[in-house]
Amino acid sequence: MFMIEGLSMLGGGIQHFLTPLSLFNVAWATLLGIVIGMLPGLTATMGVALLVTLTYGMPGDQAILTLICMYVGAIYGGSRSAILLNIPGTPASAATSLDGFPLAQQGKAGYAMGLATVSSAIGTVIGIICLAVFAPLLAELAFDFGTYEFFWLAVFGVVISGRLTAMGDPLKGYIAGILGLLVAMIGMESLQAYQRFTFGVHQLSGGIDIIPAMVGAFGFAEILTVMRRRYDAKVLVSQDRVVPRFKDVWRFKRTSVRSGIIGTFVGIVPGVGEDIGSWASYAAARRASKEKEMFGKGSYEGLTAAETGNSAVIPGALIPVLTLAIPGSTAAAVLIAAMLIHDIRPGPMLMIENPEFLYQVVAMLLFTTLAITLYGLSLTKVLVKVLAIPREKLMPVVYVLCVIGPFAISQRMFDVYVMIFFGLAGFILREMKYPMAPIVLGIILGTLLDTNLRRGLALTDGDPTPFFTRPISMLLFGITLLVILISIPVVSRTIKRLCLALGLHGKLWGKARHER
Amino acid sequence: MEEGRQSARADLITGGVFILLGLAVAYAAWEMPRFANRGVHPWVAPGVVPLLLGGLLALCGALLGWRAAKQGALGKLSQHTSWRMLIASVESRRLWAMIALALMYTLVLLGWLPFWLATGLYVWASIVIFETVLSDKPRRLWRSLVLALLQAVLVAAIVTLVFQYGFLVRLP
Repeated sequence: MFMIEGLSMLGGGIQHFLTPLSLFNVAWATLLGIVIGMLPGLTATMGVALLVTLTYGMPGDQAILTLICMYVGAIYGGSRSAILLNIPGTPASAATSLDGFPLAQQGKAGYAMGLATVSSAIGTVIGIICLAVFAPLLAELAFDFGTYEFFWLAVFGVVISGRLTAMGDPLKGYIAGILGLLVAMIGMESLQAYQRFTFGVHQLSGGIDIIPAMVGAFGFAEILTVMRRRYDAKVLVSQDRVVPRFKDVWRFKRTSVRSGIIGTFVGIVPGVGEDIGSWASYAAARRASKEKEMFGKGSYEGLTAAETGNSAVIPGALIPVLTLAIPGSTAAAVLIAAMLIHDIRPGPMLMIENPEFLYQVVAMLLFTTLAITLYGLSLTKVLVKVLAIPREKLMPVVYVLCVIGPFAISQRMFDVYVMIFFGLAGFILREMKYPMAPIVLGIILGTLLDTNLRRGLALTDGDPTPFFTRPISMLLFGITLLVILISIPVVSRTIKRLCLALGLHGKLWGKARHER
Repeated sequence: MEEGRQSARADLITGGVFILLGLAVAYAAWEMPRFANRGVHPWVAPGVVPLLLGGLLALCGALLGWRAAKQGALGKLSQHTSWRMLIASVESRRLWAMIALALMYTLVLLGWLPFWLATGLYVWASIVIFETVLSDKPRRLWRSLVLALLQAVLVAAIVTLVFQYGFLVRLP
């Protein structure tokens, strides 16, 4: 019954977007996404954040469609520069360059791009299936979430993102998370309507808007990083076959499915995005491969794993967005902001208020997957030309867009100043190896954390017991505590010694080390 | 080794900054009204979460500084990595130029000139400066001036028209 209802709603979703206008939007937004993803320094998050402005005047469904096309296109587009320049166009394609660039050096650039295209499409489709199956289940579960659970969910989101996006140095990840949460404290709080940290600046009373902050941290900061570098890279070109042979795709079916599932689950984890999804799939593929020695030297399997993994993250990242209003990646954080602008309220109530929206999102993802496949296999040679645009000519224009974007939403220069502040601060923090994702998560989840902690304590008149005794709360608290404890060197060393004593060493810690 | 010590030094300094910032936030949170007269429970006052976060930030800052000190942040840095290098290297000059151009455009030109003119000037100046003065393979000045002017006029016109009339967005 459930299944049939889902399928009919999916059909409805697909039909909803089978209009000339929608298809036109899919066509241009996906192509623009691919171009943005290809250009080093322009990331998916930045593309989506800037596009929110352009889609401001559109109806909600068309706006979200355009943004999702941009997101998928940009994550896919990053593989182009990873293969041809050895510079990942977006951080998501870092693992792609490990095998993609050696393939290009061997004169197989076209084939590598073709394989990356098909792998991205397969990854997105696996993610879409998981989205369609798990989102309704998670939404059902989310109905049991109350004040206490949402508090822990916010804490868990910031902590896990801090831990996993700063693998080598969790402390910096946590600091980034706390900074984000502090930014969220600015402005009027909802329980007593008191204005915190506004210092008499009335523009601050509404809090810091996420879009200007994101455009700064992912746009302006990135422009500074790109322009500082002295040398520009050279593009490798080749004239080989592009469309992959079926046997090459079929040969790695296990790798594809495994990478797709890993990517989806990484996507579900709050604030842990495509880059981690891609690395995790790559590491898992190398471990399981019969041709381990080929990895890093131009392995088709490694390329397949990296590209399937990062693309599968996108639908995965949308699962917590739609069911809990918690972003699974930084670009998904922008999507939440965009949905709110267009009066779509993501979260547990979405499935009741607007049940067809989930299947519309599934349909959007299907359409854009089709678009990247078509573009990827047909426009290979034309798209390479984009990489020839010199950054001196491109980046000033991008900065102009970074100024227009934040201004356009509420027509105040104050938001442009916010963008500049976050750009400079983001640049400095990034240079010092602080991850950006926990900051974003902190900004998004800060209000949730604050309101639910205090509301929960108000309900019990100051007694914190329910935060620890309700089953889901207990579970979330336990995982959060465990994540923090493992990241303390003394504790992790002790666990390691314990495992060694129990003979588990090779299995557990070898694996963890491999993934780094 | 030198680079490691340099980043440890940076961590030591930022650790200090985070301690100060955390304590300042905690103090400001402590000073916030508690609304006890409205019957608000002390744990529900607006300052609770900022107080906790400020404390946590100061703690993390202290940990960061302590770890950096253990990694040799207090040792002497050689001449090459002095603060002067931060300003003098080619990379730094490129960075400072980009920041200065961006700030000039946003904070000065946009309030003073019409949007299209400010944008055109900014794009023109940026391209010329990065193609000639700050480039390893500088282009001939007059060539860069002319080509960049062409691009600047096009960008200013297209951006203004597309956003104002295409997407119906108001411009700064």
